[in-house]
Amino acid sequence: MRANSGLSRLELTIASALVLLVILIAVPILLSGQSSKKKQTSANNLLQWGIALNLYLIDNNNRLPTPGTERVSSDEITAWYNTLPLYLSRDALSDLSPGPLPEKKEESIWINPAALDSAEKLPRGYFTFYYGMNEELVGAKNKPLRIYDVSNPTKTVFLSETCQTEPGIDPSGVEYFFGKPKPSPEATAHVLFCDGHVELVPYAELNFPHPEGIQWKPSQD
Amino acid sequence: MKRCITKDVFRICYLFVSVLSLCLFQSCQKNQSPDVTILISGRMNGNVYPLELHEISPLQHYPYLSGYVKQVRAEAESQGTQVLLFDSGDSLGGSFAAHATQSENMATFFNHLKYDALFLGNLDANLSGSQLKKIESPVLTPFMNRDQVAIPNGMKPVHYLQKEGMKIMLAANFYGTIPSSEYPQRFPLWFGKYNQPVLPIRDYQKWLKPDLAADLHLRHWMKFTGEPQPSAGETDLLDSIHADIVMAHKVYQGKARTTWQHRNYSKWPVPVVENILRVNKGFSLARIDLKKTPTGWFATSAPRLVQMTANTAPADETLLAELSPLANRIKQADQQLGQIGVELSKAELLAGYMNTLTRIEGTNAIVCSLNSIRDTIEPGPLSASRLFNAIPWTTDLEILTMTREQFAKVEDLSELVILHQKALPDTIRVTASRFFSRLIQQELELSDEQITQLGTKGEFDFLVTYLKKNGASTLEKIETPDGWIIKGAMK
Repeated sequence: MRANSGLSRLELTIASALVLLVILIAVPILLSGQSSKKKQTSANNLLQWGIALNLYLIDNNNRLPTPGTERVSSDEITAWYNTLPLYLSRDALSDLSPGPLPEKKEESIWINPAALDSAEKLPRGYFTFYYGMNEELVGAKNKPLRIYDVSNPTKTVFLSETCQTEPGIDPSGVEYFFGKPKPSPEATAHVLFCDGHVELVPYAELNFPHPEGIQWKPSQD
Repeated sequence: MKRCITKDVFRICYLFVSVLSLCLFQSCQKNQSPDVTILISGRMNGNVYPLELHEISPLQHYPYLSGYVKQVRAEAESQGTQVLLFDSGDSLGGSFAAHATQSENMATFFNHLKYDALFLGNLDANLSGSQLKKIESPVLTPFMNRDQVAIPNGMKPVHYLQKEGMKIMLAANFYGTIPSSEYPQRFPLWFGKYNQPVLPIRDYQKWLKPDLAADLHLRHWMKFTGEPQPSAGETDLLDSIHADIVMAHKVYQGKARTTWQHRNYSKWPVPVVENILRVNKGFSLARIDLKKTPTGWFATSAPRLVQMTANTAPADETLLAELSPLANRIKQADQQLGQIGVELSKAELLAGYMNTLTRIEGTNAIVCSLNSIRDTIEPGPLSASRLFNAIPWTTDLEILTMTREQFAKVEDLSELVILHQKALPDTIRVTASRFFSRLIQQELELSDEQITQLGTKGEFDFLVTYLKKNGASTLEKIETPDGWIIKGAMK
């Protein structure tokens, strides 16, 4: 009776093998699911920044914000990190207390969860920018550029994923998926364009702009 | 052993069925399709440009807005959901394209999407009857004349819409108890070519009778001072007007962007939608999905603003093709006016603009406001569209004739800038846009006979003609002309 209530060695082996198989199948799926969730969070963050950009343009006679400088300060009144958050009912960056804020664990429009590991290597005491504004989008003497000066807003980079202590970026400052230590051919990054839409863009397109493709410069003149 | 396995199998099956039922229940809950989806655009400010004209207006959202509406309609059709599409006002004018095409760009857009109704806003007061006739959907007016007749003629503030077994009562934008003195610039005092002053409709009683319950409900909702009658329940409202939905737009009372926070829609037995969108030029579309129950309506998802980008919906190519023929007309109207040598701040542009108005024959004084100047002007070529976007929202020019005592009172009105001759005659002729002349008329209680219209088409057209004749650089002459003095709020 007692022997009948247990499992035979064969049954136990089959059960263990099945459990192992399930783990082998499920773990990569779960991990990739987590990775894709992180990517989606970042794309959603950029969409939020896109809403703020559009509202800002309407309120400011079609003038873009400026990339701003490394030292986050309330004097940077046109810097994207001070002006745009207000349109999302959030504090300007200069109004947050100093230091590497916000906390990296919290969900925030400032944080790209897929780049948290890279952020660990940055010097402490600075704000970590997970998104950076295209440095080319500024007029002479750091004056805000008008959207009219951007020849193709649907193709011109406004904000992209990064991981650095500076708020402005160029192609080399973009943080890519599958991009460590050097971006591989399949590396991609999310980009918010000047018209407010977001795309996942391959490394080659961002680094070697084509005349009819993605642009960093506001006009091709 | 057999008994044990049977028991285990039974347990596993029980668990499996329970989990499956739970999943199915949740999935049913999530997929609960609404009875009605309400989409509301608003404050587009005429921002519908053929895409060929991206140099004049680079950011266009309407192709995605149109694509989104069509997507929602297609999805709704498969679910048996009704889609209602409205515009809450301030959409028909305000852009160079709307000015150049006499709002045909906007009429094309609204007609293409077959809007269920449009509600006029205070910024639509500049439209003529012929412009409004281009729109095929019902247009609701919130304005009336002194005799309490809704204007423009033939338009109504209340409309009943029949939609496949559903009756919807629409009420135009209304101002409730907001005093006009608090926000004078938000209360239109004229409409189109109608020469007498107009008033905002604050009370729909006249148009709702004998639907007393509806009237009382709206009074309550409009925050009129009188207490609503206890018998005026929302159910009574639906019964008495035999409507399934009542839509009413309330004009906003502040500049805060937080107006889309009314998460309590679902608790309201009758869905009433506020005029919620600030100037967005077509970037935002408000959406609410409702389901009817025996006790009222509830929202199947939170009311939300949907942003119109390529991420939302594909651009509507058929609409783009329909608008394309307008591109030439707009481009031709966008003539070059000459060169501007230095950057003109808003104050400098106001000074330059007011100086040009001193050339109007017989003028002793000019009245305008710095708030009316919408942008600065950079050095370089000045195009008509660029000028349009910088100077006041264009209205006709008028001359007010008044005494010295009356003129002294004009100086007391806040926010105005006054440029006048140092030596004033006893009867003073004041040039102002219709916007300010009607405001001054109201504040000083001037008679209709004290206002005459100038033969010019409007502020913008006057300035374009003037600059073409005298050169764009005339705008740079910002010093007060000899024999004139400038007063008022220049900062």
